[in-house]
Amino acid sequence: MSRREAGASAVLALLLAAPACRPGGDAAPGRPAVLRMLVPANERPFWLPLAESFAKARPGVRLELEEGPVPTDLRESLTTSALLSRDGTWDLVYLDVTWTSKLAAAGWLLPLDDAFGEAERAAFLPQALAAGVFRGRLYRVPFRTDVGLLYYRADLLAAAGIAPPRTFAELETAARRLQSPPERWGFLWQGAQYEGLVCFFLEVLHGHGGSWIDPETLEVGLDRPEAEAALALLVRARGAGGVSPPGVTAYREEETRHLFQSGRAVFLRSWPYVFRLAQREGSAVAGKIGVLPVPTLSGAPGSGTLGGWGLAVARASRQPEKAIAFVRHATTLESQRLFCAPTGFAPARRDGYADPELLAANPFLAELGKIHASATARPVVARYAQASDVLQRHLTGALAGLATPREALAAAARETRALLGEAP
Amino acid sequence: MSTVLARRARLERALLLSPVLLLLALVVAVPALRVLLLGFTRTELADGVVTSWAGLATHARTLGDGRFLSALRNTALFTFLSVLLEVTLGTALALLLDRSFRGRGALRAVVLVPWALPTSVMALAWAWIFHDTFGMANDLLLRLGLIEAPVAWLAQPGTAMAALVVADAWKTTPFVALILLAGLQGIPREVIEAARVDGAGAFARFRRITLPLLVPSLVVATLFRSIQAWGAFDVVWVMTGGGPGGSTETLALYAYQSWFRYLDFGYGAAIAVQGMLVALLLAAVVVRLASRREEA
Amino acid sequence: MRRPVAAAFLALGICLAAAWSLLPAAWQALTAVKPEAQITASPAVWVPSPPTAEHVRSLLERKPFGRYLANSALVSLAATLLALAAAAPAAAALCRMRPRARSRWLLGLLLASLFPPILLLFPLYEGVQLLGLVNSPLALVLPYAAFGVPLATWVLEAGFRELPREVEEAATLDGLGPLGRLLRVQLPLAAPSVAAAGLLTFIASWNEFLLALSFTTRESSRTVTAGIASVSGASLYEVPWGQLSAAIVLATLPVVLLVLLFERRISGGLMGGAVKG
Repeated sequence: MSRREAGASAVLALLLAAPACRPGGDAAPGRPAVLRMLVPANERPFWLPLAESFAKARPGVRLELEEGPVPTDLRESLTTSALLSRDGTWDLVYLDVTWTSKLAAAGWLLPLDDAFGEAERAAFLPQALAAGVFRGRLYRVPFRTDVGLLYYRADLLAAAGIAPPRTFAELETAARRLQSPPERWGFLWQGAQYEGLVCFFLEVLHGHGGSWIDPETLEVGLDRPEAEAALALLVRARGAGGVSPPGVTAYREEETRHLFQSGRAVFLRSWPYVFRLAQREGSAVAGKIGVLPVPTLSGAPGSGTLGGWGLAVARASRQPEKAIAFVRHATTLESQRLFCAPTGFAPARRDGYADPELLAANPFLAELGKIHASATARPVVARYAQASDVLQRHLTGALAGLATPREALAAAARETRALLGEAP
Repeated sequence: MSTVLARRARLERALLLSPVLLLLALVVAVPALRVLLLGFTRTELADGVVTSWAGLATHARTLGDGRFLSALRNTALFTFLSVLLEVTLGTALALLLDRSFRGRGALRAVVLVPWALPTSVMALAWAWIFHDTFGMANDLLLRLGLIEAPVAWLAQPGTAMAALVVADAWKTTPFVALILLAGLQGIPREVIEAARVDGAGAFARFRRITLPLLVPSLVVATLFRSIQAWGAFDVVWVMTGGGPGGSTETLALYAYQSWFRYLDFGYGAAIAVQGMLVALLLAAVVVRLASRREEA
Repeated sequence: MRRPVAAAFLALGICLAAAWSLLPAAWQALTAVKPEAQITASPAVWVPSPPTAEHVRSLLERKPFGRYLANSALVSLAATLLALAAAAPAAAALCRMRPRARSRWLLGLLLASLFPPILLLFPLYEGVQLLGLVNSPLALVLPYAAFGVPLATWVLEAGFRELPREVEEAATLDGLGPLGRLLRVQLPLAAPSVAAAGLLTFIASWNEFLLALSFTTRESSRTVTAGIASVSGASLYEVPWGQLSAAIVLATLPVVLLVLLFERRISGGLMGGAVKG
């Protein structure tokens, strides 16, 4: 090594060592017990007030919130590797509605039946609570919920004298009459190959009277005529002369929201969070939108897909009572206010929908409460993630025109049965 | 006497080699055997993760699995395209660096930079470059008049794969260029000079003399890179996550998903093993070619 | 007539090569210091005016980025030292072997280094869990050292073999054993090769992502490649490209410096391996 290089290495070593010398980090003396939980980085600021109020309510226990990646898939893998290691890294798990079954089936979550009795359970939206029950035991307590909705441009419909649509046919007719592509499209939905597509497809499927997987009997209904009709509707919407842009097969929530919010669509299928953002100052459609339950074939109010996030306790936690105490604390009305008022997320507690404080922050909640009552959960089966990926792949194949709806669904049904048969 | 010495020499050699062997056994050999075994098991989720012997049943699942076939196809396409691009660009770069000009040392350092950057981190950078509305790629292409409207690179199957290939080629071209440069420097100058005296043009000299003599290096670079590209994970995971619509999902991603999302450990191992068999086949070719060279 | 044309081609080639290598990184560096409004301007604004340190500051405020960098440095350095410590005696043994046996060993090492880490991920994870090493730096140090050791052995062996044979014989006559020869003679004389092998292992370890992502579940033990995956802004729905770019620049700066300073060693190491392969 030459002298120049030796000098350079010394400089480099210093550069590298410098950050290590900075004080701080989490080397604080560990007197209070520490509970750990992973939350998406963008939600962390909204969790902090809850951690503070918990520290006040329960001195001696501190909740440490670790920032995880924002994309749900990444956090799902990270959560899995942490739970798989069973080293008690995280005491609490902040989990999507669809993760419950597999994490519970793997035996990584603590049953919470004893901690949450009948009276306590009754405080939650029944569907949201039921989504946390796997093989008869409660593993996940709902924290915030989501439900699929149909947004529409009230101003455009009123001007044309069209009543808000209740059936698929009315929706299609209205969308076709009011659209002028490519400036304004009739109907936007999430068509990219991901979980959002499954959520939307299930609403259309249920609206046609069909079903995907019966969680009890594991019966698969994808190759029935109702399912074919449902998928054919989506294929037609996106096809030539349809009411949805061809690019819809690449859209997730945010792409559709941006288009709708800039006034470039008549109808949008999405989640409650859109309402607040679309009504905000600066939105091109502020004050011009309305919300409906998703449509059905018959015109009866449809049932939106239930989404949302909940809390569970890791079985490997060395302090389960304290973790349960936090779950209880986070799901009080007080905490729901702290979290839902600034974010606009929908609370999981029933009284949240009638709470003056929350209603003041988000008047839309009153309407949302009604729509929530008919929400449908996705099937709680241990192999949910795989089943969903199978369905996504074949839906996309049909939307791209690689297969007819009948072929695509027959293949999906076959693969799903094989999957569910494989793992009883 | 001599046998004692020979035995001592052998013992000494074994001792000197043991740390490397221990490390490789611990981190490569034992896990490789373990994953091989795991591929013959079935994973069930029933009040815990239950593993049972399944013989070939788990491996057989790939046969009826459209997603496995599509991942295999994507892996092969990604490997082929990125290696093709890397070797082409790497050859050009090596020829350039083989010339003598002022500032050659500086250029060599600059050109090596992409190779040294973390793939996962630069994949984030590439996702930003290929951003549909604010990205550099669209801006440059629009300014040059090569496209008329912004392209949503990562949202369409074909362009997403193209973006991955470019990002991967950017990172690994320097490696290919260095191997080829070493090959070029091994070509005797007199041979090329003689051709020049005979009146052969630059292109003819390259085609008739340089290229044939460079073939061994090209083969080594191609196979080395093919095996690495076959197992590529970081760039795909960060840039597209296998999407859109699974069009860029590689075997590595599928195995990862099976392990860490589906908790289907046996099947993940079966995917990895079947992928590994192809990689091993490639490796066997490398070894054959390399050992033939060594003997020649 | 031909000369100026050739010179122009050469100049063009040099410019293209430099642009291809630097533009993507430069675009990132520019984004990192661009005011927010210029990041999302269309058509794109290339040169930030005025440059801002806002993104770097808010990144360091929100993330223990120094911790990530320090973890990466620690893990990579430890892996490098371990790899060198294992590779040096092996290289010494190899360079004394007969050519046939030696090339067989070297090819075996090559084969081991070609295993894509993804194949080993799950069993390695099981091992890490079994040994209780989740979130411990050792969980990364051992695999990184193992991944780096084949190439390090190749480079060191090439370096040792270039040493004059008499030096080693003289050392033997002085009564030095194999370890003494290694420490007193071979390593000091082959210092450039040691540097090359070390740099290659260090860079590879710094850059590793898959294991870092899976074996560190806690913020305080994440390395920079894993930590960067969870960079996000304070807003719920927007990707903070400015902060992300700042993070990318900070994570890559150390290796960029290494390459610019030690290009000759690194290229020499890679090319040395290639020449013999």
